[in-house]
Amino acid sequence: MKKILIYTTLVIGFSLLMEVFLQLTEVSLPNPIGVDQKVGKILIPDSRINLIKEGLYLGEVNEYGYLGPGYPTERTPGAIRIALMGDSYVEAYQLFEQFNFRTVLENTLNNSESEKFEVLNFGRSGMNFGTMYTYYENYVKQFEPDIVLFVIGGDDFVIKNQNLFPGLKIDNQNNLVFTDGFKNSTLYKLRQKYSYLFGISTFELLKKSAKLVSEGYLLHILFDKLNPEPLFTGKPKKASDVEYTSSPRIDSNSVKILSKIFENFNNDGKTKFAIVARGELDQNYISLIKECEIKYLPLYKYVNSLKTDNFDPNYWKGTNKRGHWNHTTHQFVGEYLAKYLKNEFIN
Amino acid sequence: MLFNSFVFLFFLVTIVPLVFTLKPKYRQITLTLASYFFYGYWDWRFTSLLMISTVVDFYIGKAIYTEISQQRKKQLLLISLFTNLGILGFFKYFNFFAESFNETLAMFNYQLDFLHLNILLPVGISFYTFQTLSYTIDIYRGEMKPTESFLNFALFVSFFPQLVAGPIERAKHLLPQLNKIEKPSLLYIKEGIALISVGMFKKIIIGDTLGRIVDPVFAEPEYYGSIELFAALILFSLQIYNDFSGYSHIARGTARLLGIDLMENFNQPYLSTNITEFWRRWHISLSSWLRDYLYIPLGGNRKGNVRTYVNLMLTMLLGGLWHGANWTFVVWGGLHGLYLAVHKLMMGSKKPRYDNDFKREKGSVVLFLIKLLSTNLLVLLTWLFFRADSFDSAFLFLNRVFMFTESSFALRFITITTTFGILSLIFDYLEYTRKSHTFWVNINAPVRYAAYTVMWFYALLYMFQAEPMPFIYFQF
Repeated sequence: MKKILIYTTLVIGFSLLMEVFLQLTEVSLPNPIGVDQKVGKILIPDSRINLIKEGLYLGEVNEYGYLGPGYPTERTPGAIRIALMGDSYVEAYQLFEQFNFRTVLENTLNNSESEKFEVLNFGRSGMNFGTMYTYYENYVKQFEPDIVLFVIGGDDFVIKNQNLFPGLKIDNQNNLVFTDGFKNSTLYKLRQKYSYLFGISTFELLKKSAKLVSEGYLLHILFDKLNPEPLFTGKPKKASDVEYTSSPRIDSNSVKILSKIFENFNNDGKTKFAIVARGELDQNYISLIKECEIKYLPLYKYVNSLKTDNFDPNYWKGTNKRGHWNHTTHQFVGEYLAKYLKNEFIN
Repeated sequence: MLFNSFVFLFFLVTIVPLVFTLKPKYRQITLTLASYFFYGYWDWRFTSLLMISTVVDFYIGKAIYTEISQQRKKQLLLISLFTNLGILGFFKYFNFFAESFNETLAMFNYQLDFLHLNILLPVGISFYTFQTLSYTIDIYRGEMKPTESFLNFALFVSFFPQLVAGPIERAKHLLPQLNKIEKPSLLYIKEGIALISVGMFKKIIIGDTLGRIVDPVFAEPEYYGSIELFAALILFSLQIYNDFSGYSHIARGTARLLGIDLMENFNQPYLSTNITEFWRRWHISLSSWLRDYLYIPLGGNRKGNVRTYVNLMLTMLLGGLWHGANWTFVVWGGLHGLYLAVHKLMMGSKKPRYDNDFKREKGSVVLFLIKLLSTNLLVLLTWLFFRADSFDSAFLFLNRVFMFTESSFALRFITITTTFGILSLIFDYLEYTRKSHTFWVNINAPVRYAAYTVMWFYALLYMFQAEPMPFIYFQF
C-alpha cells in the first residue's frame, strides 16, 4: 500500500515537472483560444504562441486580444487604421511577426506617406467570410478601422456556420441577423465548464491526439505503412499533401447573405471595405462584388506571377513543405497591398 | 522501421516473446528474418545489398583464414574492401564526387556535365559496412577465427537493434553472443526496459521536439537574430546528442531483451574537459573503429610527432566524410582533427584522465567547469558545419551571430535552451555520477516505475500527435 502511495505521488510530481518543462520549452503551450459568449472563439490576451507548421512561429496575443502590436480601441489622433480580416494566411503562424505582410504593409505605408498608419491583424485560422463578418461586427468594429481588408480564399464565400462562432441567417423580414446557437452546443458548455483545463499543456497534447483519432488517423498512426489504404479516412495530414488550388462553389443562401453583408458595407459611412482574393473566386461571386460596388483585388494573380522554375511562393525550405505564403511572398504581399491602398483609398 | 514509431513497439513486443518461445535452434533464423523485415520495411530492395555484403564477407572471411599465402590473404581482403567500400562509395559518394569534379573543372572554365545519378541512399549502409569490414580485417590480422555458421554471420550483419545506426559492433564481441541466443536474465530484462524507456524519452521528448525548432532556423538563418541563432546552435548540439544517444539506448535495451550485450556508444560527452576525452565519450563505436582500423594502421603515434598529427587529421577528415557526402562534414572532421592535434601537442607525453569525477582537476570544480565550457564551445563551432547545408549557409549563420543582429525572441530562446539543457544534463549527471546507463535498476521500485510511467506517457503522447522525426544519423 505504501509503495502504491509513493508511486502515485511520484507520478503526479513527475507529471507536474513535465508540465513545467512543456511550458518553458514551449513544446506544447496552453491553448490561446478562449470562448466569449458574444464573439465566440477569441484569442486570450497575453497568451504565448509557439507553432511549428511550415515554418517556426513565436509570438504573443497582445493585451487587446489580437496578433501583432497592441493598438487600443481608442484611435491615435490623426492615424489611419487598417484592419486585416482573414484566415490562416493573415494570421500567419508560419513566420515571425516582423516578417509577415501586416508588418511589411505598415512599415511601407509609414515610410512612404506623411500620415501615421496602424495595421491590425485580426486573421484567424479556418474562418470563412461569414465568420469573418460576425467577428468584425462583434469584436473588430470597436477598434474603429478606417479601412477593412477581407483576405479570402476560393471557398470562403460559401457561408457555413462554424463551431463556437455566431452564425448568420436571413430572417423573415429579409434582414441579416446573427444566430447564437453555438451557446447551446455541448462543445461550448464543456469549454465554459472546464476552461481551466485549456491552460494545461498536457491537456493540449491529449486534445490534439483525440482530434487525430476523431479525424480517422488512429490506424494510420499506429500501423503506419501496414495500415491498408481504405482504413485511412482522415483528411490529409501534412501541409505538403494539400494543394492550395481554388475549388469555387456557389450556393443561393451564401449569395443572399453576401448581398446583405455588402449592402451593410455600403451603408457604413465611416469605414471603407475591400475584398482581397488570395485564391481564385467563382465568376458569379466576382460579379456580385462588382455589382455591389465593393472594391476587389485579385491578389492571387500577382502572387502567382512570382512563380518561376526556382521559386514557389508557398514552399518552405526548413520543413520542405508547401503550404502558406513563405517569407518572400509575405514581403511581396505587404508591399503590393501598400501600393494598392495608396492608389485606391489614401491618395 | 523507426524506433520512435508505434510499429516498432508492436514489432518489439511480438519478436521478443516469439524468439524465446521457440527452441534455441530456431532463434537465429527467426531473428535474422525479423531483422530483414525490419530493414526491408523502409525499402525491401536494399535487403539485397545486405545479402551481398553477408555472402561476400562470409566466404572471404573463411578463405582468408584457410589461405596460407600472405599475399593471397591480402588479395582476398582487398576484394572484401573493394566490394563493401564500392557499394558504399557508389550509393553514398558517387554524386558528391561527380559534382565536386564538375565544379573543379568549372573553375578552369571547362564544362563537362558529369553524370548525375538519381540514387537513393540505403539506410544505415555506412554502419553495417564498417561492421562487416571489421570482421574480415580481424580475420586477416589473425585476431579471430571466422564463424562456421552462415546464419550466425547473416544475423551478425543484420541484427536489427543496431543495424541502421550502430553501435558499430565488433565481430569478436557480437558473433559469439549471436551463436547461442539464451533467454535474458532478469537483470538484462530490467536493464533493457530502463534503456528503452530513457532512450525513447530522450529521442522523442528532447531530440524530436528540438528538431522542430532547429530545422527552420538552420534552413533560413537570415530571418533570425544573433541570440536566436546562437541558441539554435546549442539546441542542435542537444538535439543530435539526445537523438543519437537516445537511439543507442533503445538499440542496447532492445538487444538486452534478446539477451545480447551491445557496446556503449555515448558516455556523457558534453561533460568532457578536453577534446580527446570528448572523442572517448562521443560515438564510441565509431571513434574506436576509426582508431583501430584507420589511425593505428596509418602508423598511429608510432612514427614521430608530425606523422601523429597527420594521422590524426587524416583519420578525422575521413571520419567526417563517413558522416555524409558534403564538404561541410569534411570541415567538421578537419576541425576535430585540428583540435585533437593541438591538444596532443599541448599534452606532450601526459595522458588525459577519463574517470567520472568532477573533482579530477587539481584545482577545483571551477577549473573543471572552465575546461568543460571551453571544450563545449569548440565542439559547438564544429556542429555549425555539421548541421549547415552549405558553407554559404554556415558563414551566413556565423556572420549574423557575430554581427549582433537584433533578436525578437531572445528571452524565449534563452529559456527554451536553458530548460532543454537542464533536462539533458539531469540524465547525464545521473549516468556520470553513477557510472552506468542502467543505474535505474538499482533505484527503489516505486521511484523507478513512477519515472518510467511518466517518461512513457509523455513520449507516447508526443509520438502520437507529431509526425515522427527520422533519426539524424539515418542519413549517414
